[in-house]
Amino acid sequence: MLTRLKGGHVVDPANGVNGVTDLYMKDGQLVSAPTEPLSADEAIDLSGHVVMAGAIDIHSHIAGGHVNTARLLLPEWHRAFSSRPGETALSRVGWTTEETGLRYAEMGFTTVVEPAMGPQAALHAHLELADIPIIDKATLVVLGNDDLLMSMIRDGESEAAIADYVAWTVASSRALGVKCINAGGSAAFKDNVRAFSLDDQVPDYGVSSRQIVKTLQKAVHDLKIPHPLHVHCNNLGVPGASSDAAEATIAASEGLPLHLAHIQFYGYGTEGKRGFSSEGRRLAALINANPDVTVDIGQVMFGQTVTISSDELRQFAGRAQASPKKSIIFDHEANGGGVVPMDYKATSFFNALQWAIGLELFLLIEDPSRVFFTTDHPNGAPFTTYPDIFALLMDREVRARWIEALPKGVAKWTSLPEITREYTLEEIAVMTRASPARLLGTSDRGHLGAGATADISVYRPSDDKAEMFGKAAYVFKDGRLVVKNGSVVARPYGRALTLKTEADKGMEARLDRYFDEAYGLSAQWFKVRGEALGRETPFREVSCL
Amino acid sequence: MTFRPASVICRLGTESDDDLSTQWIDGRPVSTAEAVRAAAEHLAASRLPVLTGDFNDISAIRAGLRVAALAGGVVDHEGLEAIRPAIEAIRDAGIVMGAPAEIRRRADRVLVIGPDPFEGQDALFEQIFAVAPDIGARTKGKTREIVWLGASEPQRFAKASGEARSIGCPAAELTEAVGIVRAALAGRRFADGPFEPGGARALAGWLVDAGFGAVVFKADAFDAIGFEEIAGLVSDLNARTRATALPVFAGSAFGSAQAATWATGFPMRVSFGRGAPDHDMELFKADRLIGSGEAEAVLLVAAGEGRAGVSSDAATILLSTEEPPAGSSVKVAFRIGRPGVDHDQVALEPRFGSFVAHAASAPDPDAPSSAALILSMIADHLAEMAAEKGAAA
Repeated sequence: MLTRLKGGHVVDPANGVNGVTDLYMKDGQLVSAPTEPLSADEAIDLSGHVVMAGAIDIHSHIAGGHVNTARLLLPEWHRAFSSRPGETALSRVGWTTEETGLRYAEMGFTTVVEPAMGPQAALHAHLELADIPIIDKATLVVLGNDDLLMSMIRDGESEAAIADYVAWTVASSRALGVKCINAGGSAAFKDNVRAFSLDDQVPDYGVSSRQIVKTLQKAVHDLKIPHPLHVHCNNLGVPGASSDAAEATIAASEGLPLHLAHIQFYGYGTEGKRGFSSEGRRLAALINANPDVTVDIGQVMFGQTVTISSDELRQFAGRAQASPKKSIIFDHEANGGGVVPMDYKATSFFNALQWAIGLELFLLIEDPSRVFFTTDHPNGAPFTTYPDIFALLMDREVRARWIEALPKGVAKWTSLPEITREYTLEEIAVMTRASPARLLGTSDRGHLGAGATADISVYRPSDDKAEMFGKAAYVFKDGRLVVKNGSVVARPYGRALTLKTEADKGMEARLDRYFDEAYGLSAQWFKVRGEALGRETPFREVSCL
Repeated sequence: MTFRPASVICRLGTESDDDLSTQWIDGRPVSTAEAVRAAAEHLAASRLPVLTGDFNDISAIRAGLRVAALAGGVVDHEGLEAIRPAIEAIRDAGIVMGAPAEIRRRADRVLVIGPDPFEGQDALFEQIFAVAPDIGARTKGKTREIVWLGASEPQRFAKASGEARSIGCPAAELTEAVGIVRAALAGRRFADGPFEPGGARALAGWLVDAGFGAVVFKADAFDAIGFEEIAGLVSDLNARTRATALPVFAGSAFGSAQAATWATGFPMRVSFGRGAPDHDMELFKADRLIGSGEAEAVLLVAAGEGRAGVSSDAATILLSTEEPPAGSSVKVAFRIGRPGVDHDQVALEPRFGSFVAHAASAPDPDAPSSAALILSMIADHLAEMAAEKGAAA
């Protein structure tokens, strides 16, 4: 059936469109306008509406062992824990697999990337993803604290062999890309190391964090994986050491693409009597000057949340700030991780400055195609806070009101009050649609050109940007209407986007032996097969470059 | 062994509609479609349907949760009561816990507490103890030392790589013993309790001097306080060295609880009676609801042998690997295939610390349908009934 989406204000920067025009979709895809517009079987009048491609979130912890452990740890925050409260601390969070899909879709998001899937937890992650309705999903598989990679580097194995290992891991886990989390830091922590920087060496292996990052960056590049290595730097959240880590890692990109995750958590200096200040302006300048680097923000918003990370070292250290006072730390093979609840208080100087640093970075990084819209859900804030963040970026008066409400003294430690920039609709579309699709290598989405998957978000323009982006007027997923007036009207299941890659047979045989001999595990257990997920079409493959 | 595609399983399910040997209504052989319709109608008509059983396949609990959501029912797992203290302790106080694979390679000192955690878990025992630690600057090449607190002798570890000894302690005093070790670690005053004089301090020192210590125990052998005390010991140790806990879970309850957690936010027991999932460990206990007569319909998944007997006044829908006994109270019965044998199975694998997909070990195209498939069909029928009701309204 040919459907005409008529008269909307189409904002499609990937195709250079920013004006009123019609769109046509058929069989789940956008198609060229027919020679006779009235030949469409159905027409939907979108005049007065803003039309964009479905939004893409490149970094949101929505599935897997650690996410599920957070649910287990914090039942008191779920709406229905007891019959008493209608509103609890996390009642607005898309907490279950079902709610995750519904809440994202209501805001016009149609693709979300789970960015930290341990190889051993890949099936778990995909089982959860399979239960998330509406949206398409993807995962980044985590390497960089694993015995084999560090051993291969130590033993001087060839780049080709290491690339084969990375390819096997991506293929087995059905990932779309590779992430490296505090490279070597979790392994060092297991040897009781409590602080770890880019040039520190992992005990017993004698390889540095820098070597691990550079090796993985090269392997990802050589394998022609579209998404560059996704790096969670060392010393997240540590005043002084965090910004040093980010600076050193940016400098280490050295001509190859690198993506730095949740950069806000690295924007912390040590000035002032509290020993906590903003390095946002300096980091933004470094990013502006280095075109190899992309970043997502990890914006902090005020309220109760929970931090979920495979950075075991930092999560262990973060236990001291847990609120409420409980946490779960994992010593898995490779990365491990931790779940630590966090309450970002608007009345806290530290939390308020974290909030301001995130916005500084959003607004001072000049190229919206190199900065990505995230809260590192749920680490900085639940993704359900996105409408408020859109408003903060697009309306400086809204920002001024929030700044006015900050604790006394915060404003003088941030350049935020002086920043007048307001994101335009086109810049929002670049940041949340066109660029994420390009960064992930998913050319079928992020735009509204002919041949694109018909993932389309339609918004009612409003001066209140939070209202506008909080409830989409219409959302089409694969051409099917799934949201109307901010409410879900259909719940089809999307797919997980996976990289089309194959493992080398020699590496396959080697890993069969390795996992059996080293860990007493079957290498077959790491392999995610679509048949186990219980969906007709669990995957859609994405080609390498 | 290849994994049988779900689509093939689905086709088998629909083809078996004419097979009257695997489903019954009131003991009368019927087609799959009739039985599914009857099961869905009983559940929909019930003011309080209860789903319970052994759910030995994650696909089955996922489908069961969908049935419960559509029918407004309660979901429980028959093994949940045993792990309830562990769940409550973990979510009340947290824990530092490790994967067996990492413990195998890194733990130079292992403290085993209480009843044998490896009873019926020989593969897990073999995985951890067959070799000495071989990674870690502080642990590599060391002889593994094992202390079993609560055993009269460490015979179980005779075949382990390393040296084992035991410290006797009555089961009823294990929690106290752990508390005493924590006091010794913290430099607080303590009584000797079950320890010989100086024993607690020596054990605390032995743990602190570990390069990477592991504390292993049977997850369902302790009440919540005991579990929390052990987790507290591991937490205390981590202030000074590295240590990790390994609570060993048996059976399918913990895996099912995880699936329920991602689907509902809770590890069971969960009710969908008010629409959104509600959680209450006591209120939604299947045994209580069935025993008290509150449950108006019961759906029981029984994948183990000798499990087909059901006694309930409520209309019962049975999914069993065995035929229902003659004269039982079962209203609708389905014979199901054996997960992991006749059908593929997704289950929590203790050695892996996560889920593993097992291909059917003896796939048989004539085997009865899986519990997951039957439950999915019941859910689909419930969804159709709801849609028709909505359209009519």
